[in-house]
Parts: sequence; C-alpha cells; structure tokens
Amino acid sequence: MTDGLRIKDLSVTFQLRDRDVRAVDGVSVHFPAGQITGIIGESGCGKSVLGMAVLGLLPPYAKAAGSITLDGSPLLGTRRALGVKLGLIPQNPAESLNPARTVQAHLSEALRPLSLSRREAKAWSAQLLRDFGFPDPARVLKAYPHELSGGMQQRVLCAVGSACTPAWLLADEPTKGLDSALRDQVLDTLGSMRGRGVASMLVITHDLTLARSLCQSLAVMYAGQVLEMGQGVLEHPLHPYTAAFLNALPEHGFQPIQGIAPRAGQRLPGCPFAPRCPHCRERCTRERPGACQPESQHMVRCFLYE
Amino acid sequence: MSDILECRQIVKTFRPCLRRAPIQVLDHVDLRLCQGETLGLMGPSGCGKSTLARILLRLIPCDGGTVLFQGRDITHLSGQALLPFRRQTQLISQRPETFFDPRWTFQQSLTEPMDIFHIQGGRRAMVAELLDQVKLTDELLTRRPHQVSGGEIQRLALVRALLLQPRVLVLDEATSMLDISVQAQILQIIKEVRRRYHLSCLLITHDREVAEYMCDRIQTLPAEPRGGPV
Ligand SMILES: Nc1ncnc2c1ncn2[C@@H]1O[C@H](COP(=O)(O)OP(=O)(O)OP(=O)(O)O)[C@@H](O)[C@H]1O
Ligand code: SF4
Ligand SMILES: [Mg+2]
Repeated sequence: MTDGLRIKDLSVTFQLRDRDVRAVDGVSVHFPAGQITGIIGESGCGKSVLGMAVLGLLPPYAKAAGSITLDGSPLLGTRRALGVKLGLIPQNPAESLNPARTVQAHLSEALRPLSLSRREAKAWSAQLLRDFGFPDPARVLKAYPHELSGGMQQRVLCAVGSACTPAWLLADEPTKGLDSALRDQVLDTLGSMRGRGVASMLVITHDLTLARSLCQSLAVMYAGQVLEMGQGVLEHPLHPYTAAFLNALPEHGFQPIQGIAPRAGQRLPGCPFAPRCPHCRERCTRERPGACQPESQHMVRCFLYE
Repeated sequence: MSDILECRQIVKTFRPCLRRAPIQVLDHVDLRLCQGETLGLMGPSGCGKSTLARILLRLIPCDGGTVLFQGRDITHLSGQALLPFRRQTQLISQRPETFFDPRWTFQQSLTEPMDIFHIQGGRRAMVAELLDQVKLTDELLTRRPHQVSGGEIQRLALVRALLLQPRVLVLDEATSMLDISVQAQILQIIKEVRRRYHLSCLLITHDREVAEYMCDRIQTLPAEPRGGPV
C-alpha cells in the first residue's frame, strides 16, 4: 500500500520547567507518496519539530498527541521506520557527524539494519559514495569529518541517510548557509536520490529557490500550523501569510512582514496570523479557520476562502 | 570620494597543522572602502572573505601588506593606540550570539562597551533610540541570549555596534543564517541606519541578490589557489 504519509491532529508540546511550549499545533496533512514536498515557513514555526515527530526523534520531555501513519501503519512514538523506511538528512552537517569517527564508521552503522557482512558493507559504502559524486571513495571512507569541506560533509550525510534505500527521506535545511556553488551541488544530489530508489521526500527549507526547483508541492507553516499546502503555492499563494512571506524575496524588493512574529509557543484562539493580517476581521480573532480547498490540489486555512 | 578604510597587497597564509603544507588564502589583495559607500565583497566559499575582513578590522594579523584607516597606516598599531580605531569600526557577523555573554542580560551586554570606551551621559536615551530604530522594545533588555530568536539577537548586535557611533560597519554574512522574512527586515534596518548615521559599510555575502540590492559597488575575490581538502 502506498498511501503516503498521513498526519492527523498532531500536536507537540515541550514541557519546560516554567511553561509549556506548543511547537506543533493541530496539524493535519497528507504527503502523497512519489512526490517531493517542501515545508517552508519562518524560523521557529515548528518545521523541524514536525519532522522529528515523523521520525520518532522527539526528546523525552516532548509530548505528542494525534496520529502519524506511513502507508497505513502507525508511526507516532516509534523509531521502527527510521533508517529503513524513512531516512534523515539532518539540519547541521558539521554537528551531525561524529568528529571522532571515520566516514566508513558512519556508513557501517547506517547499514546495520541490512545485516551485511563486513566485506559487503564496505563495497556498498563505496558504491554509495560514488553515487553521491565522490570519484575516489576509498580515500573518503578513511577520512574524518573535519577533513571534508561543508559540501562534502553534506553529501556524506546524504549517503548515510539513504544507505538502506528508504522509500522516504526527510532533509532538514539541506542548503542552509551554503554558497551558491555548494547549493547547486546539494540540489543535484537530492535530485539524484530519486534515481536511487528514494521515491518520496520531505524537504524542510527556507530557501525558496530550492523549493521551487525541487518540490512538486509545498506546505506553509506558521506558529505550529500548516496554513496552506499544495501545488502552485509559490506561483499563486492563497493565504495572506504566504503572500506576505513571499514579499520578502529579492524579486519583490525584500519587503518584511508587518507586525511582530508570534513568540515561541504562543497560542491564539483564532487564526494565528490575525494580529498581522491586513484582511483580519472580527471573526478571525475568535475562531480557527478550517481547511478549504478553493482549487484542486491546493488547501488553505483562511476565512477569505469559505 | 575619499577612502575611509583601505588595504594594499594583503597576504595571509594559514598553517592548518604541522604535517600539511601551508595554505595561502589571500594573495596580494587590494580593497578600498570609500566614505559613505556600501561595498559588497563576494567570492566562493573559502576564498578568504572573512579573513580579509578580520585583517581590515585588525582582529587578526596579516603576513604582508598595509591597512590604512582615513589615510593613516594602522597595520602595526597595537594596544591603546588601536582603541579609537576599534571604536570606529564595528563587525556584525553570522553568529551574533558570540558577541554576547550567555550569562548576561542584554542590558549588561550593551553597557559593557560603553564602559570600555568611556561613553557617559545620555546612555539610556541612546539605547532607547537605537532599539526603536531596529524595531525592538526595551522588554528584551532583561532577557539573556538563549531567550531571543535569531532575528532579535542580530538586531541587538546591531544596537551594540551602533552605540559606539562607528564610522564603518562590516557585515559578514550577517543575514545568511536567517530566513527570508527576517533577512528582509534586517536589510531594511541596515539601509535605514546607514543613512541616518552616515556609515560606510563593507557587506560580505554569497548572495548576489542581496549584494546587488544593498551595495554601490561589488568586489569579487578569486577562489583560493588550492584544491579542496582530502
Ligand atoms: N528541544 C526543544 N525544547 C524546547 N523547545 C523546543 C525544542 N525544539 C524546538 N523547540 C521550540 O519549538 C518551536 C519550533 O521549533 P523548530 O525547531 O521546529 O523551528 P523551525 O521551524 O525548524 O525553525 P528553523 O527554521 O530556525 O530551523 C520553537 O519555538 C522552538 O523554540
Ligand atoms: S483567517 Fe482572517 S486573519 Fe487569518 S489569514 Fe484569513 S483573513 Fe487573515
Ligand atoms: Mg529547523
């Protein structure tokens, strides 16, 4: 069954000493299989936390409610799928590789679920590195992370994340802080994943150029909620937040969003964007807008489309 | 237009470890920042943009060449003699959190440089004016670095720099770790303060669109003359 990834009423709350922070707040979305879906939104809106919930990697003091299923089988609270069905390319290449271990050690560990012999694991590792653009894998396998450039570390992590050829891959900010040449390299790498059996991908990013060229559909997050999702989000945004967010792009003259961004975990009874929305009406501050589908393959949560 | 900050024929070599050959990062580089202009400094990853900026600010030594501030050779000044220069040139980096002591409130962190440079009188009003410029409220002053967002701490770093009334601002990838909406906000603020305080700016970025939007002129450094590691 290839139903894809279904998230229903997912909430994630961090229970901190002095208060609770709700990082994901009632998210219901469906990520279809066979597609690359981007998740965009401002820093702190809950993109990474959503991703970690899917992978079962939330810290112990996080409380998650709701459901997540992959092809019909429940995922929330388990790590069963991690590495095998679902691979991860984490947010910080430099911090995600263990400085004391070689590339070979990282790959061997990632390949463990396949129970290969040492020789097989070695051969497979070399092939993986070749697939990710290292012409001389033998040397790279012996290298330690600090001996690799940022772009190379990123590609090693891609190899680690896709070692067991998971059907799904989650990449968290794969291009953050990279210059344009390295960015193109990562883009190529992610593109080539699909040729390697990874059919479906979630890409968390605030790099809209990457989102545009790589993703078939996009989810827009704000204050822990998915406000808009579908195809053509960048071309004709429906939600007032998405429109304001896109105005910050260079081609629109770097216009910032008016008003103040919500504080971490701050919750409003109505639409989360109401305090900054130019179209806000009285109802918006009282009631939470439900999902509307004004166009096929395009969901939005805003009273303007009811 | 007269030059405010200039360097001539800068050479810089790093020795990563004893076993390896030294790497020449800067090979006789010239740069001139004119009074009141914003100069963009671009180039591929690892070409030495940040190294050059730190040499210009006299934060690290160079192996050859000259640094001039308002026409005066400051390459070999040190200690007390550098103080006036330090005050007039301020750096905003990609990692603003490194400019703040994690244990201190922002109130304390903003007061410290004013103590060092003996800025007396009207401190409160200056802080209030600058907070207003960068669109923050004084509620933030009681917080510590881990309690604010990336965009907020970068704006506080800008306040800290501007309190010293500098002539030159060096922005090293100051917005590259921020998401596009926060980046847009900071760019607008930089445009405003640079006009208001007649600043000359050196803006280091790998984003051509940001450079073209912000700068009067762009200088590109060539890639470093060695292959990648491994
Ligand atoms: N381990 C944690 N403990 C407490 N709060 C957390 C933790 N991780 C994240 N948060 C909070 O949850 C919210 C969402 O964080 P998240 O990391 O998902 O943001 P993001 O959208 O990925 O942002 P960025 O673009 O900066 O990576 C933030 O308010 C953050 O402060
Ligand atoms: S629901 Fe109301 S406040 Fe929210 S985005 Fe739509 S119009 Fe604006
Ligand atoms: Mg994140």
